[in-house]
Amino acid sequence: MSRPDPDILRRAQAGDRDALDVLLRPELDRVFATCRRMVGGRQEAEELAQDALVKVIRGLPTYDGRASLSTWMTRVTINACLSWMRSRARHSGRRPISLEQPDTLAGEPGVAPGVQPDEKARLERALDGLKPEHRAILVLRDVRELDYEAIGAALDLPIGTVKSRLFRARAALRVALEEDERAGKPERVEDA
Amino acid sequence: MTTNGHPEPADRAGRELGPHSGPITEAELLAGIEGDAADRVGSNARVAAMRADRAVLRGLARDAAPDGLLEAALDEALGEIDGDTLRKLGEGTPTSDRLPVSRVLPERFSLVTWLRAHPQRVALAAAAVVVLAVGTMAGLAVRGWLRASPVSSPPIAMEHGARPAAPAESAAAQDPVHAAPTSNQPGEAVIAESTPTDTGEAPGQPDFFAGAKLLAEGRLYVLARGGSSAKVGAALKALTDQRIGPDHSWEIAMGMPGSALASLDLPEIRQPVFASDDTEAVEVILPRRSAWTAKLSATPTALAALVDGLRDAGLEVTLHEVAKPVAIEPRLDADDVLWWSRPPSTWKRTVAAPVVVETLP
Repeated sequence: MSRPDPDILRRAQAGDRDALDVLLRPELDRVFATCRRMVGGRQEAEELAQDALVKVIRGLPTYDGRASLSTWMTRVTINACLSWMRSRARHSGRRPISLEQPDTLAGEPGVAPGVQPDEKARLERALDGLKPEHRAILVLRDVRELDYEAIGAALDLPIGTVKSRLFRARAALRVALEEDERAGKPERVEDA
Repeated sequence: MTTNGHPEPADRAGRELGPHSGPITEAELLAGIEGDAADRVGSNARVAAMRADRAVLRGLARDAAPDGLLEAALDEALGEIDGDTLRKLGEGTPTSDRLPVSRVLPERFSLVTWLRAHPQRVALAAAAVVVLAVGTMAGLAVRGWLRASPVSSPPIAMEHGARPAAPAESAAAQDPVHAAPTSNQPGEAVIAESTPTDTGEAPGQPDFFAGAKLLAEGRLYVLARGGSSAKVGAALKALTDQRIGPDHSWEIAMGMPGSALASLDLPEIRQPVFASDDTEAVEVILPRRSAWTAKLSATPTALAALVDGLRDAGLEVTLHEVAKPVAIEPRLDADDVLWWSRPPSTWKRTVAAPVVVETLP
């Protein structure tokens, strides 16, 4: 786990814009990817990522350097995402799943060879039906590719709990996918 | 069971492992899914499906962050931090009301540092300077017009029971502490006082126009007195509880730097005072002095509002001229910085005036 340059960190903590840029820019894609997979829609992810970054900047003076900056930022980002999802659930119930246009999926960069757009759409629908905590741990493990220790640091959980929750999240995802297959309506949109 | 009422896949997966597998833990199943224990659970159909799910999940697009995301976040966060800083700058509090007057100096606001922290502020400041210059020229023009107008320059209306403004001799009789040795002697001259009279008549009004002129020059301080510790204590509490005057015409902003206080050349008031109202026991009053700073516009109206506010708090108020400008600057808050965003009619220079509060019968 890398630690930031102390001088850059000190300047960034004091609000130096250039230092903040140097410190945060390498983490941008990871922050955005986390938000993107946590909330689904790109526009919502952009708003949430900006909100998370604002929290990171404002909270940077409290960063003590014990964890890597990336892990600390992941923790702030995930908390922002969970907070946003819970707030949304409180105020509007479950939102309709945001489905991307199928014809844009095939050409989307980063889709692994062999992953069909239909598979991706099914997976995203299933993810959207998971509890936020399950979705978070799957995103951290499979999208962010963090190890159990880093996930534990980000979610403030012991490693045993990380493994247990991760397995239950995978199981819940499988159940959701099987339900989706049984329903046989890959284009459906859930009601609130 | 899951929250959906379906069997836990862990249970189903475990059962499907067959009678030879024995009990299997979630950790082992997870290891099988993630490839670390394929031998034990790898042949299970459900585990294989979960492994495939993982592969699809890992293959999802990892979009790059959109352009401008960091810049937008920096703008928002640094703007919030600046706003917080400005709010805190406007919330300085005096730290002591005991003699000798000692206080922790509030954090200094550096305009240069503030400007350098954000390149856009330089442009903003340049625009503000241009607007200020135009406003000053317009103000001077209006002032010249007002001076030429007979309507604008009447003597200050004195309410009944009021004393004439600025006679040093009468002030000396009323205020032995700040009595002027000679009239028109800067440094100790009392402009006029605003003291409730024994007859219940309206108190005399200071010459607020003269006061405002001195205020703009930094050569005015306000002396507010109470005759007992209880009276001054209540007044100070009232002032600190509601430190902003009506329509934000004035604001008790912070304590005063020791150097600025020293420049007022106030006399020592350490001697105890014996007071009696003829019927009760004699009270020994230890004189106290606290120094504050009021932030207000350099206008007669704002000065009058400040005097009224102090008088409403139960204090007797006099305005005093000093020879040299007192070295204090008003602490700016967001409203002060954004003065140009308000209507031109409200554009007034904000100044700081020392407010000395004494417990002295």
